[in-house]
Amino acid sequence: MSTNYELIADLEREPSFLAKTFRDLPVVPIVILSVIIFAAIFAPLLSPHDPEYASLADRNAEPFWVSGSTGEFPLGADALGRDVLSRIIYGTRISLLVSFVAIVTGVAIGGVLGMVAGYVGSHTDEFIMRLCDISLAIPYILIALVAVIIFGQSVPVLLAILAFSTWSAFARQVRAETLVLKQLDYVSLAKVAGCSHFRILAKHILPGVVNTIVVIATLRVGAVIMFEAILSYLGAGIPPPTPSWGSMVSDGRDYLPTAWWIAFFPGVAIFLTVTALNFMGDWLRDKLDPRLRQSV
Amino acid sequence: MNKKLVLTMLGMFSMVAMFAIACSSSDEETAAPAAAPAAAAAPAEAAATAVPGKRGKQGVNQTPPTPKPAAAAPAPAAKEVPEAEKLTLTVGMKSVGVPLFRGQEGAYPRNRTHWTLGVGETLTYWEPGTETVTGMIAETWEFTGDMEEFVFHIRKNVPFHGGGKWGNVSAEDAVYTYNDVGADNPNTKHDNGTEVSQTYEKWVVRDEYTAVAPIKTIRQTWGEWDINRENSSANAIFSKKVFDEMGPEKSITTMVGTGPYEAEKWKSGEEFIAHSVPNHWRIQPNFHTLHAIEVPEETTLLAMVRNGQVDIAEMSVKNIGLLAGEGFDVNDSLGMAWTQVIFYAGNYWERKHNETGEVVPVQPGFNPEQPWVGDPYDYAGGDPADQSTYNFETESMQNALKVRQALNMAIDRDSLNEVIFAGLGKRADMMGVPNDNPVFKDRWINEYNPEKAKELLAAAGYPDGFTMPYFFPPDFGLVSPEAAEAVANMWENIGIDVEIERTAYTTRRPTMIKREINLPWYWMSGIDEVDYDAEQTWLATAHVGWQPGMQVPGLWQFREALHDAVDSGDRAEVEKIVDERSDFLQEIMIMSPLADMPKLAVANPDTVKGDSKNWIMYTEHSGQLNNFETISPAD
Amino acid sequence: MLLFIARRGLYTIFSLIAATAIVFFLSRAQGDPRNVLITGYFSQEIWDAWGVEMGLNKPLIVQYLIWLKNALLGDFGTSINAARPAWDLIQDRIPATLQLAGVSWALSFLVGIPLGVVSAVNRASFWDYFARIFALVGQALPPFWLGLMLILLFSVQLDLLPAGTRGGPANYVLPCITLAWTAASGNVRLMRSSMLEVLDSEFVKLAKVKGAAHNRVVWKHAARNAMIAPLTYSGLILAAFMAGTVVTETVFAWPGIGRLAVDSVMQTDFPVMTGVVLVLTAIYLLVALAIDILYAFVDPRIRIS
Repeated sequence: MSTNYELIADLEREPSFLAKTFRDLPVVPIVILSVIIFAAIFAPLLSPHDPEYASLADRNAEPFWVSGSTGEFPLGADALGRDVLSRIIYGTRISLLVSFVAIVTGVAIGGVLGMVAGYVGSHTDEFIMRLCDISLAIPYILIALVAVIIFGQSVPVLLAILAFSTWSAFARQVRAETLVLKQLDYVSLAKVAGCSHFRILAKHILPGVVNTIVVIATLRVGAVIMFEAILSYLGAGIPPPTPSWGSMVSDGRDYLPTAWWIAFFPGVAIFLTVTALNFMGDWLRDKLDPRLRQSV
Repeated sequence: MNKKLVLTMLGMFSMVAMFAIACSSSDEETAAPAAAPAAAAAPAEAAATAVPGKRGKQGVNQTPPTPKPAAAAPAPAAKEVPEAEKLTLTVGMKSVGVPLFRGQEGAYPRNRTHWTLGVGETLTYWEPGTETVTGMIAETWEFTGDMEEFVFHIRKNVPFHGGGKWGNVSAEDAVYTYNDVGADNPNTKHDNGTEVSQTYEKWVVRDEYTAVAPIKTIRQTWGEWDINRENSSANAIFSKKVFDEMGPEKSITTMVGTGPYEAEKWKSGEEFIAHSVPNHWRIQPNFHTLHAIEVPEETTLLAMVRNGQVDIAEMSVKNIGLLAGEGFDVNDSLGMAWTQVIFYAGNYWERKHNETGEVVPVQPGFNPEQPWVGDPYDYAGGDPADQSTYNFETESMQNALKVRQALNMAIDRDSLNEVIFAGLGKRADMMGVPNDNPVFKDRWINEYNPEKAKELLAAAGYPDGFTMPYFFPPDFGLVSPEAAEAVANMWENIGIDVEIERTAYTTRRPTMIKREINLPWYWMSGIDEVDYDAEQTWLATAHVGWQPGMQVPGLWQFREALHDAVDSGDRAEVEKIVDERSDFLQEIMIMSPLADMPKLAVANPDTVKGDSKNWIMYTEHSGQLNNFETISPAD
Repeated sequence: MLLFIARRGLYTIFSLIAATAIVFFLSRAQGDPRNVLITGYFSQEIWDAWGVEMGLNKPLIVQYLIWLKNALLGDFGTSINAARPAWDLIQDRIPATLQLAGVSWALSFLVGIPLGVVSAVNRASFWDYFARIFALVGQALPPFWLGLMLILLFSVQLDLLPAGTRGGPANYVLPCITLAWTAASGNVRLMRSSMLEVLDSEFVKLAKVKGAAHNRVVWKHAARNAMIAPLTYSGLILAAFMAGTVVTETVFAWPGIGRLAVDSVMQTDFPVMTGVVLVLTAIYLLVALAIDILYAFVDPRIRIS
């Protein structure tokens, strides 16, 4: 027979909650993401040059390790003499801003629709899910290009496009989660007690879906950044001269044989960022909501 | 489980089947293979020396120039070239255009592709090297009566493509082509529909080889007609029989022309394949097959040049140096280079039509709130409806002038030329007068002084700069998007917040035509070789100053005066007028010329003789490579 | 089963309508469609004539429905740039896209599925790490950047492979790698996690206990069951794949409808643009439908939901 003291001793041999959480922390991705956030915040301090200052005399300057370089531009300069490194650093701002706004809007729209769909059920559910499915079939890139041609190439237009590209992922998963939560006892009790639907959603369902939302958000940020990069590459993203990684690759593509660094380094930046985000998303998902493991 | 296996296989199989079906179904444009043409080659004629006629009051004198016959005919009765010797010329281009074998469809710049690729021919053309109007489909031409008619004598024995099926060119075809192009045709998209309709009434067939163009408006610019787009590249003669038989829509893509290359396959976005016409009346191409491939990515094109996939390629300044260093020939003959220029659009100052005198309404794009736009009627006695109250000295105009001067002064032209154009262009400071022209005056050189520019801005009331939209087409002919962006940066350096609008040219074009455009925009215009001692080219610059987005009273007078001076034959007078015009332009600072930049091509010296001496291209407004029929293979 | 197909059919139709309606109404939102037809010479009469010809006096919804009806009959209107029926242009280019997409799609399965299996079965082996890095990189590499780097390396520097345009088998290598890698990555990850779960399941343990040879167990039972997961999410992967086609065709100058779409948008050639959107959506829906039917056969539970 175990005494209380023995029970406690048993429990103490279990690693604490904190230890468990940080046991298999993905260190490298966190470091990368921290660097990116840090760069975005302290961009003016970190950048060796003004990212938009063009100096034709420095056109296509080489990175410091390439022979013939003045060393003034660590990662080289682009076709207009702008420092690639500084532009990459400032580019973090665009990537973060864009992904943050898009995700938040996507969460707002998709989360609400998902909760409503799962909670209300029947036709509303059907309808919202059909909308989700349909949005999957639409070739989003083309719609985005059309919108840019029509409404002009500007940041608000881009944000709107990106926001609309993410909502359905949230709606779907949040709905699934809501369906499960709806069945729980305390929800039924709340209903019986006469709580309004809104209250139930806000106080009982919402906390339950937060985990799902966080996981999806982290998994989707990478996709949003990638989408913005693709749009910028096609010439429909952030208008020049604001530095965006995607448009930097596009600017550099005619110079691959002569000045490969213009297109190379921004691509690496995209790659590292998205990788780190994917890792974080996976890790968060495993920690918070393993049920989602089967999702991409 | 077997059922699952079967179904999985079924799924795979259907995907493969889809794939196979897709592979085998390929709808390609193929013209019927041509049989040996029946027409005999025209006998060789001695090339007559062309005498450029003096232009009369309306630009045409009673002694029109001696029409210059076509170049010496090809070797008579060419024998069949053995298969092994049939050479193929592969050209890499950013765009191969679309098949448009009907006049009315000639929207710019696609209306010229059939000409540049060698499948279509015009009535006359501007022969490079001799700088004279030379007959192509038209053998001779003259005016009749008191300038009532323009009569063209159509060359005989010029067969249409298609192996004889469509017969030879006759006056009917010329008449049909021009009437189809004209703006009287409500469906016409042709860029010269206006000019054709304003100049001529409907063309008429007088007899089998005589086409008559009744003149509607005697144009002040008959001299310009010589090098006018109407004839130099944009109005290939198409077959009326094709139109009659194939109908208005199918005739558009029925690939029948008269040129030395006959189109076999033309897939827009992909490729163009043509084979040479044996015993062609004008010239015998050395390459039996012409294969143009569309490659929009320059890096891909460069790789293709290096590994021999293409013999000739369009190439931008960015990579020309690299290829030249590797031994490839650089061809810059597609100059007469076009001047890269910034127009400060929005300055719609005219209220009276310069030719008719009718009242011109305030244009929709006119907005004097914009810092670079001035209002000449904004003062006590000013009446926007009355051009006689036009006043250049109003405060609005003077401030806007300072702004434009500041913008102009902020541009470092030398840097642009050396760096962006890799020294291959020429600095340009005055429209209509290239810097190395004997007529050029040093006082027209633009100062580069960003500090002074900032002072000017402050004096105009913008010490902290302002926000300015700015447009350049990223996809057009000889326009350099890099230079355009570099200029934007130069303006940013003097405190202006530039908002770059990078829309396709086709999207912006309607605003130009509807006089709505009202922002500084980057374009190309004018020519870089103006010989003020050769009459023809003087008149090429007579239209300087007219551009979409600006209407300046006073500019038109220079045009008329220049014509008068040309007529009188007084060279000194011509130079005086050009001086006055240029001074005027400098004073009002309505545009900033930047550089003359030719279109460049590279050629593989191992397979073709493609350098500038051996392959001379025609001036081509849209910048398309052309004149492939004259290229010789390498020795 | 038939009900299932009928419902999917309905979904298909609604998706097509939604996709094309969005583009159609957006394009009208820009302003008058006659604007792109303006040349140097136009007058009020021509303007009005165009208006009648294009049916612009009718309500917008009616205009869309007319367009839709015509589209379903194969008439997408006339391309503004090419003066040919838009459908002709599209039809010319579909084979190129299907070839590229077909080969890439097949490649992504042929590489992704086995890699995922191997990775799950031989945990912590070289193949496991290779597969996981493969998947990681594939999902994070920007496709346009990958394409350009491949061109730089294999065409420009090494001169081993052609740098673009369509042609023989050699021309397929670089574009297909670019296009297939991302999709293959998704397959690898899904297959791997799915296999891990299946291998853990009672069913497989039982099969092992019964003494079936190890490999037979893995490949015959586990793999087949695990394949359900990639199929489930193939819809998502396919959507991303279609987007990837657009980019890849642009980078490699592949004459397919993806590139046609981008060109037509840049040139505001609305008939072609709307037509391409319809065709791309239709392709996606057809393939998704085929996969779903396959899936429904494979997993009866789905039919009921």
